[in-house]
Amino acid sequence: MATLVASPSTLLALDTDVFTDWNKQRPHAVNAVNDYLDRMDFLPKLAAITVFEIEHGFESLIVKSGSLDQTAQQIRSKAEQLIRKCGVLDFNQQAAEIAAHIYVRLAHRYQNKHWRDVYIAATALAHGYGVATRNQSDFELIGQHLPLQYSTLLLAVWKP
Amino acid sequence: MQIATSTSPVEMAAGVVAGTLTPPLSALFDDLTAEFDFPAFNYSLTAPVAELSAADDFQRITMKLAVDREVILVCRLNGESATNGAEPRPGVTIDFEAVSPSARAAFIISTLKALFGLSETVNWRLPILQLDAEIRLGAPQEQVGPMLRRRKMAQLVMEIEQAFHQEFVMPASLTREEEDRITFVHAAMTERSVVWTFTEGAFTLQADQETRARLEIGNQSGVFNLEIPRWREELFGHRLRLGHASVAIENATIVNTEEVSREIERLDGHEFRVVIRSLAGEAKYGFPDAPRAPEQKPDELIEELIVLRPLLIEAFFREVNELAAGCLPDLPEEELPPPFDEEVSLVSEGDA
Repeated sequence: MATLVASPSTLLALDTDVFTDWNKQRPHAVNAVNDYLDRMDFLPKLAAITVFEIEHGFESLIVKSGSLDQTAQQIRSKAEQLIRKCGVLDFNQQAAEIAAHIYVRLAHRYQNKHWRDVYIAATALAHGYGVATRNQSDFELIGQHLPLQYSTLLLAVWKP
Repeated sequence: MQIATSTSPVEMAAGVVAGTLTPPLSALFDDLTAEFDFPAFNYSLTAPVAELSAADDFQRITMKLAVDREVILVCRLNGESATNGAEPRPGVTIDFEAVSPSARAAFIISTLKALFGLSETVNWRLPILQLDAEIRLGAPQEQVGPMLRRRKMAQLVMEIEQAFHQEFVMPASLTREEEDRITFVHAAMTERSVVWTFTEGAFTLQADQETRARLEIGNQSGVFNLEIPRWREELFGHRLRLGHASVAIENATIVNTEEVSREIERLDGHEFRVVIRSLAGEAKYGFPDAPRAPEQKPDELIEELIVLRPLLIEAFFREVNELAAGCLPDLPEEELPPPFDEEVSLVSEGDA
């Protein structure tokens, strides 16, 4: 039960931090996505929980301000187009079972901090994907608590 | 514009944005051809018109273009009456039909779909009918990515077909397992030495002295070097023989130890199954005898479409990267969605 370095042929889901880096056009993220697409003829996918995080941001604005202004609406439209282009890995029954297994085995102090990473890791594992992340250590922590039948979480570390 | 095939429907919306469309259908000739220019890709597709029909006083015209022996491109022009003095703007629908569910058809169709989807404008010419139109596509972009992936898989399958002298029926959509198998077999025949993701797998070995020695060494060192006399892979119901294989797995243990101990002691050459689990996450495979990838060049159309790949990938990346760049960061600070790294939890500290 561990994390390992993803091979060049591993299909990857983006951790939210990498997605954020890509949004901010940080060169390491832009280059990594470009390299991945060039290698796989495929974009990295997003876990459903990442879509939640993205939409959570916009919905929070609506709750706070009553509505999204035109600029925010355009930005949301772009985000949603990008989500569709990348494709989404569902948080399905398998993923839920994996997440439950990991979550209860994390120390309490890590549960609040890492619950979204747990969902991302579980979703990736359920679909046979690895995770592209900036935060290797978070996923290594999660990797210590994988179910036996999913003994290895493959990680691609995309950071500056 | 709509683009769809019998195997994988894709809907695209388009209109003619410039040009004239006056189809005198009486002027039909035997050698009628149509041409699609994709300026952004410096590519032009010419195909003979195999069938032409009209309905509703030529308001609806259907044209079937024989792009390839395996692929028919169906164009439907739906004339619209001018309203409020506006110019008539015919709508265009494009479908693809695969003559057979072959890898060749899948490759051509997926490449052309990606090409249409990534082209801002396409020039469509049918000189004999005085058709010279610029059509602008509003393709559902989520289809382009899967088309690029399918295109790649279809190309690999075509090469596998040639190497193994077989023809496959390519499903409308591929499972992860099928994609893995395609890329694995292709890598075996092109690279010969393959490092592949491995966590647990079963191998069929012969109960003999050599195997026993190899397993003993593996048990002691955690490194298993296996020799498989006849490696086979199943793909689309076909059995592909890759020949002799050597497999090296590190940081590994045998899962079915009791069964293996019992079987290996018979030393009679019978085949038995060993399940190995590795914490290394990968195994190294050697396939010295696997059929080789064909050296012959593909035909003209396939070669033209193959060389488009870097341009397709570049165009697709440009599109998605522009979207990514515009997703969040330009909002004023107070309007930014909460940072993703913010501590947010559905579980309160008290509950945890």
